[in-house]
Amino acid sequence: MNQARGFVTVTGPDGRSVTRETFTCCHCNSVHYTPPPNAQEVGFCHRCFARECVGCAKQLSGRCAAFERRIEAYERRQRMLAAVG
Amino acid sequence: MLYTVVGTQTAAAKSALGVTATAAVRPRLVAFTASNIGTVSTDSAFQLQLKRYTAAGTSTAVTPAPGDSGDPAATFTAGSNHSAEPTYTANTTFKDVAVNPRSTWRWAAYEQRAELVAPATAANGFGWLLNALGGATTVNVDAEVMQ
Repeated sequence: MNQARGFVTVTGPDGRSVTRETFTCCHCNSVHYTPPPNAQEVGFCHRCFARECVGCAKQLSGRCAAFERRIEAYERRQRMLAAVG
Repeated sequence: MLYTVVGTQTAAAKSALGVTATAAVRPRLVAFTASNIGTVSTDSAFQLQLKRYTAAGTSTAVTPAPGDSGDPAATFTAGSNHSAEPTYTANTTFKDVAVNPRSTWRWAAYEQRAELVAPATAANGFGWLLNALGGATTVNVDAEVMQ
């Protein structure tokens, strides 16, 4: 659960700051706020062993579409399209 | 290697900063900070959206500054203050935030798996679209990008 974490810090005009933890979805690479410890988990991929966002959890419903594989497929397709003109 | 790029924008809906890949590298966004420069007109938030694009648009070129002065020049490119918008891909918003112009907003990745990655495809990348100016004067986006 300690994977793909980040944080957001908002510093107000009075100099005080608020920090919240974020996670990056293992399937679509988008950034979301981490749910509080006692809240229901938004989504979790057991193959990536990382959090997924609500959108991916609904869309993929348990399947794994790891971002690394998706970006590689996209690059292959773009190289192929460039090669054929 | 880590590079810093900075972009600004004074008008909505125009992009403040764009980071564009080449076929040789995948730029990885490690952190970014959004803030306002100048006198705040009203306490109305500006809206900044971080999205993917497939064509870079027209902007003022920004030279990525290496964190280590001994590092070579960056392979990815960057642009600020877009006059023609990049072609953003639908449903690829990484972040959509409303920021009070009197405050600063920073996101950073703790670890590599949290970084945002652009494909190693020419003209693809990510951009910071200033969707609403609110009470801000000049929105400043400072991004740290790894390649």
